[in-house]
Amino acid sequence: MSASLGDGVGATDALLLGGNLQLRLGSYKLPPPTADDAVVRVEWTGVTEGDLRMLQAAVLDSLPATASGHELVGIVESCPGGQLSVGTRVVVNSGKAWFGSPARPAVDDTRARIQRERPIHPRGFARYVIVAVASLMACPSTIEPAIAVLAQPLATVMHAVGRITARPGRALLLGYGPVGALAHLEVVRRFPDTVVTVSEPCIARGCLAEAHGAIRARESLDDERWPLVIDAGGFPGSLTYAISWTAHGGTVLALAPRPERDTIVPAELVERSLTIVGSSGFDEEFSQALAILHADPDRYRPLITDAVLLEEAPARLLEFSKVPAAGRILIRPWRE
Amino acid sequence: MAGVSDFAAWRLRRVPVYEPGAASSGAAADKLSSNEAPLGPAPAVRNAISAAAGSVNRYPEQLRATQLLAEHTGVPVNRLVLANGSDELCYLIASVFLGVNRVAVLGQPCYQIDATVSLLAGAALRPVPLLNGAHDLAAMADAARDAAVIWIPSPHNPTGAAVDPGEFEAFLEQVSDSCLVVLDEAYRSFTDPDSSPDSLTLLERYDNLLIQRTLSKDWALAGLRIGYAIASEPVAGALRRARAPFSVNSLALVALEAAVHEEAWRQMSVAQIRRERSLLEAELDRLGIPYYPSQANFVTARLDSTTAVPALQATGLVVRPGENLGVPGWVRISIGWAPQMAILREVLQRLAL
Repeated sequence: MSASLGDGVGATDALLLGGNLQLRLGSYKLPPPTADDAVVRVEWTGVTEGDLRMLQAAVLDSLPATASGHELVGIVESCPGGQLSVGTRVVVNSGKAWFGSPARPAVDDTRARIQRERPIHPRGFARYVIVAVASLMACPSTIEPAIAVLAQPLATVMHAVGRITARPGRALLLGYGPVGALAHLEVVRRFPDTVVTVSEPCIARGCLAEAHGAIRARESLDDERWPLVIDAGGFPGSLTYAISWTAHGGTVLALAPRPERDTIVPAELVERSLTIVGSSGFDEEFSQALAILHADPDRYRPLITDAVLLEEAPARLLEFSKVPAAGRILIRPWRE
Repeated sequence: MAGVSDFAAWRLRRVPVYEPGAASSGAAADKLSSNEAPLGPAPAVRNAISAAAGSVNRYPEQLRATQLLAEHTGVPVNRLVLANGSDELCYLIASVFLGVNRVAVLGQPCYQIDATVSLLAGAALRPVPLLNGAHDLAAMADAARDAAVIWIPSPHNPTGAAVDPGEFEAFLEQVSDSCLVVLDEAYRSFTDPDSSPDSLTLLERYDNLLIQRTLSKDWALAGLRIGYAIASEPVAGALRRARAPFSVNSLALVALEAAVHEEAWRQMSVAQIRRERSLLEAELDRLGIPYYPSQANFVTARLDSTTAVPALQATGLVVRPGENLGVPGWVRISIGWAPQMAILREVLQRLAL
């Protein structure tokens, strides 16, 4: 168990990534919280695709500029500045601030941390985290904490889908990982009559898509064009494919940030009057996402398909890095 | 008035009181005591139920729902009987096929409703002890020589064991055709492939077989109370004749009509439950906690309910003590949503220390 955090300073059990890229459970020394920080006891943390990618040495060089374990819900254990009451359930909006440090590091900095510090993986995959108060949002007292973990990815998706200007009627969704699934639900929440076709090679994810009423593409997509194409695939060239499958005047939602280059021909955008919408900058949508999750948890419950205890995580995450989970994986750091 | 209540007390003297699974104090998903579907019905089913709320001033009409169910199951309409949950079917079966001086054979422990309805009908119970949590079909066939009804839930509640397909067929060969064999398949969807009898095929050969199914479990409609029987035409006709008019409400019928088109949702829900069941059983193995290997959406483990139930309750999880299920010293754990099952494993680890 964690060392005492009586005054908000100490060590915590955490999932650590060693230099050999082997995950293990160990102890991590937390930085002392400042007056702008809170110590949060972590109830649930979402495992993102980026987190899983970190486990695959082959793609380490393409590590995205995301904080590992940044989708988390927990309880305020202490708050030196007094901005939040002890015992408040909070969710992290990592788009606003950073864990225990004022600025978000760039990709190169993140890589440097991996090479310099071992372990490096303490963020939300730990029983306690130090988080800037500015990035914390208090949850409604009756929200299910495991559902609240979806606030940030849902806000991200809402930010993009909210920029669709015309009722699409038909949409093509590339990838049905957790973000793709949230995009599907958000599109049909806003435009209930939209017929969504999903391209997803993973059988379990395809089944999840069909369960939510999507049509699973089984044939070549080359003969069709869609007014709305959502790139939640995150595979090399996925944005290029998304653009090629978009109908004249259509919209591409880019939800899968990757550092690799995709080929985009400006003339194609111009001549086909395409709009490309990104998903970053979701502060406004964050509280809305939380409210939606609170109001209708059953709608989103099936998207969380796996949950593992912190102790189980080293073995289970390794499995998930090889065979993807159907939906979002949650880690349960806290022990009662 | 004393005479009236005295009579009721005498009549019910052997009828056990049914104690439903306790409700959760937290989120609905935390309730692991009633073998409910943690993900609920498909969004399209929820929408259909909401849309139908405006017509509840009308009496329910079963025809369309029954036809759709017939298409879904591949069974002719005249062999189907819709009921207000499969528990109503139990009452109907007992009222039609049991009575004073008639015998009902069941496992021990049994699904409690089977015993209750048999006793209410005035029948004598002939319990046959389970073998390692499973029905002892050979002993049940022996016990059924003069019996009117044999109750066989498969997978069984409260142990989760399913009858072996080959043994069940041999059992049917031994049972007199004057004895109704009630195969309750409430949990059939959760079984491993090839571990359930091919009941519809058997129904073609055995007129005394009745299959009981529910939409409460894999179809996630427990709150609406709807189930059905598949039986030979005369048996189905008898049950329909005994059934109260309009016993299945209109929202349940609408839900059924929508649900038969949501097979992908049902399969996804079942797959999640089966995966979580495997994880729970692996954890019980690791911790050395005995349990009945389950083919259902629950696992019954040997845990002291006086310590396990409060420990789980402290985390918001509610499970079913075995004391009122006929398995004292055991706890029945419904398979829930992945996050709840992770918390459950954490509590089990603490209890095993």
